[in-house]
Amino acid sequence: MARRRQEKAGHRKKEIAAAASKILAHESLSRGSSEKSARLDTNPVGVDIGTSKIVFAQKKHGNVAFTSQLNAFISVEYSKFTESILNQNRINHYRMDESLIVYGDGAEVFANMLNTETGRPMRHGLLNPKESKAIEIIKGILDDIVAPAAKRGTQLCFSIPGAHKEAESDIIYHEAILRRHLSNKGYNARSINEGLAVIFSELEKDNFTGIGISAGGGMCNVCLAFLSVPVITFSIRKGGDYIDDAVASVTGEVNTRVRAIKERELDLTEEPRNDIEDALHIYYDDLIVTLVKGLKESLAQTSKIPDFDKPVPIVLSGGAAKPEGFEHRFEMYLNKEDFPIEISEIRTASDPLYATAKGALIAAMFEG
Amino acid sequence: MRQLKELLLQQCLRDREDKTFLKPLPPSSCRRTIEEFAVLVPDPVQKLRFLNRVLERYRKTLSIYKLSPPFQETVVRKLAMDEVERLCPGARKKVRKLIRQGTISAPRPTPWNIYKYRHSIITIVMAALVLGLGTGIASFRNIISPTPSVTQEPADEYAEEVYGLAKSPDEQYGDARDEGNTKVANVSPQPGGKEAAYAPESTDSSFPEYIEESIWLVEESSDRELYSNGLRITTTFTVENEPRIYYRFPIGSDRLPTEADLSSKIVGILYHASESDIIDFIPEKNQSLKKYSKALFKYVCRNKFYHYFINRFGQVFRAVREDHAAFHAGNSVWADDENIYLNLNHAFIGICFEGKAFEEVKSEPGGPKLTAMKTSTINEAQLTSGRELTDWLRVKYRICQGNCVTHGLVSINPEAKLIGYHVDLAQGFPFHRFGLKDKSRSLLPTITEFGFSHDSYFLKIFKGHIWPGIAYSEERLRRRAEIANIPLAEYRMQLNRRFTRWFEWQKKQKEDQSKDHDQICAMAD
Repeated sequence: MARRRQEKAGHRKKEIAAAASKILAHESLSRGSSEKSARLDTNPVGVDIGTSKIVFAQKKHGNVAFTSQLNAFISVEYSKFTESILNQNRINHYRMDESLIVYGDGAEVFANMLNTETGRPMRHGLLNPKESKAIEIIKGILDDIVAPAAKRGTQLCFSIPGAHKEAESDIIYHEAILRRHLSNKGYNARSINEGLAVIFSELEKDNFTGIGISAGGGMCNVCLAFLSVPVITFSIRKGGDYIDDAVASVTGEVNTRVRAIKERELDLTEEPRNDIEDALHIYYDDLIVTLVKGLKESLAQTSKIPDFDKPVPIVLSGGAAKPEGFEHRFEMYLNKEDFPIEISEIRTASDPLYATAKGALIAAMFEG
Repeated sequence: MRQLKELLLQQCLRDREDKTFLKPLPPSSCRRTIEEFAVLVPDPVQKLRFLNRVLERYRKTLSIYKLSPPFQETVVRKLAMDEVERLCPGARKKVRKLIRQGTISAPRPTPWNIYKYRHSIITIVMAALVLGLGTGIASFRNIISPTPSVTQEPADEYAEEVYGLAKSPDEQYGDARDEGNTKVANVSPQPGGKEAAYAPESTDSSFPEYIEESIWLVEESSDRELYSNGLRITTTFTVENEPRIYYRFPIGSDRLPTEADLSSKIVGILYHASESDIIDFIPEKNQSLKKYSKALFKYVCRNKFYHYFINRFGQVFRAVREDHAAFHAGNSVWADDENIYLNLNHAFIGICFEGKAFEEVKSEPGGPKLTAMKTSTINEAQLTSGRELTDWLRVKYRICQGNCVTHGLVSINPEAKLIGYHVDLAQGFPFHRFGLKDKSRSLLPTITEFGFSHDSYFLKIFKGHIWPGIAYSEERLRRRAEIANIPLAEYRMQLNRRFTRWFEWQKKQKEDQSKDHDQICAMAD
């Protein structure tokens, strides 16, 4: 019996060590050569604080450099061995009572190894009220990704979701918490709407006139801007996570596997090959229809729409907009609606995962 | 803690108000104007600044200026023009060009003129009012004894603001006298101060861009040409070289030239000094002067160095035929409002004055072997002939005055990214005697477009008295780096890299051309 327990413990240790080395390899890949110390400069900073990822952007030697961390965590049982492995491999974690909270990119690797789900400190684009550790974890990830400002008052812009009828006060709280934390790091922190950030990043040639849509993990943020001035912003509380949850629920699969299929294999231009893909197609359609209808209703309700004398473009970004064919489906559903303004083109951002962070950086440079 | 939280919440709400929805947007015709001007701002951050500044200033503009759509459009045009000039110095010229091309719509004449001269109109109206009021009061005082006080009309804040900003510089490669540059205007333009060869010109305003009068061929023989402005050219020794063909690099663009940018047109004149040994210019040395001059010209023709050679008696000789290139410019750069020209052998005509402005000196190791002479040896006869030749060439090829420049101002060391590889006529050249603006006070494209610099060796040659154009150009470079929000050194590196890319590309084109030429010759043989 004792021997079996020893074997089991030994197996667990091997699993943890393997996960740690995998995370280290992943992190060194995603960070490239940029070290924290290298980020200690006075250039303005853009941060996209999304439900599933936090992306940092800063201009280096004329190019924009990005660093990202998964906005997730996992709780593992405390043991000295596990803690030392995490320390040795510099995996972000902290101890809480008899648990170790692993957060950032490491969390997902651990979740896959241990065949469990990661927790999310944010939900629907805002701090997750059901998660007691949310603020601590977000701060931890931000501390890892955003070095303290080398010069007090360095400009920083971070993304926030658009207004939502049900969550106006939550947005204010979410924004205030993040602003305070980033201000404490020495930055002059200002927020920017996610949709507007997409416009700043992608619609420069259109003089920042058009519709920017950031379809992220927690929600879809939309902004219509005219000459960089936001005219309408709104959000819908459906995003990549909604699709994962719904598909997992109807197919009986775990979210992690659904997400893996969605990110690696899904092609919305092709017929679904199995139940999971079929469900993904259905929920993607649902998301797109909600988005198009929401956009149409918002435009119809507002009296402030400027007199556009030429058609405006729509740009799609965010992780949920990445699958092949998203743009095509969006266009198809948009064409079915009688849209109040004329659209010149619909296109996907050059780098959908980093468009918001880049837009936030442009806003920071503009403010700075 | 609670207070802090409340403060943060208030700040969030305030920001929200700042950013969204409350700014009134200008009418659609004005928006078109803003968008047209925005094309001139290439950088996204700068474009954002431009749009926000124009909208913000439009919002603050007095309602009186926004009464009717034509006036609104005029106000927006003025604001857009000011802002685009602030962000991209020299953009006014481009705007005028784009208006001519139809890319930017032309202003409505009447409101534009009224708006343009609004200060004068306001002044006249106010003066009339004051005068009228004064007359009235005086008449009134004649009738009633108590003396009423005259109050002045309140100043129009907007007008003052715009008036202050309206003093924008005219920035181009022909004229660098702007607000920023006045800071460095005390740099001495002359080596040796008052002992310099030529008197400094008083003003540049009287030099037209092009010469409109005609100059025609009066007489032509097998060895001579006489022109209506008195120019006489000896053509006996004219030699051939290679036909002109070169690429123009469009200014304000990073792209490499295409076939459409190929040209064989003569666009400028480059003045040189032979920097050869000089015999005293006295009657006793007449034979030696003639003999030496002849030998020098033979050498010039043999090596196809220049198109024209002007000896010390002011005689003009054609060395290389005009439609062929001559090997006069070496590695060199110049630019006008439209194009940058790299290595000017093919684009420019080379005129060489027999003379000297530098002398050799013995100095410690590493020190300069040359130093600027106190007086140049180019004499009055040469200046007269040079002016005649310049006028005729400018008329014949419609050369603008901005493209008439001296070798010392354009010569570069491409590897070290330094200016002044050759220094002949770099300082003290009497441009005004040729009907030209002083190019030693102009922006140097080598610095502003390619970030070149100078070294201590260069400073020693001129004993620290470098010409003002260098300081102007450095200042312009610094301002552009500031606007682009890039450290100056990095900005300079970026420009250097652009130069290298273009330079290497041009070199490769030249090599390819030579290969093709060789192949054709081989086939012909």
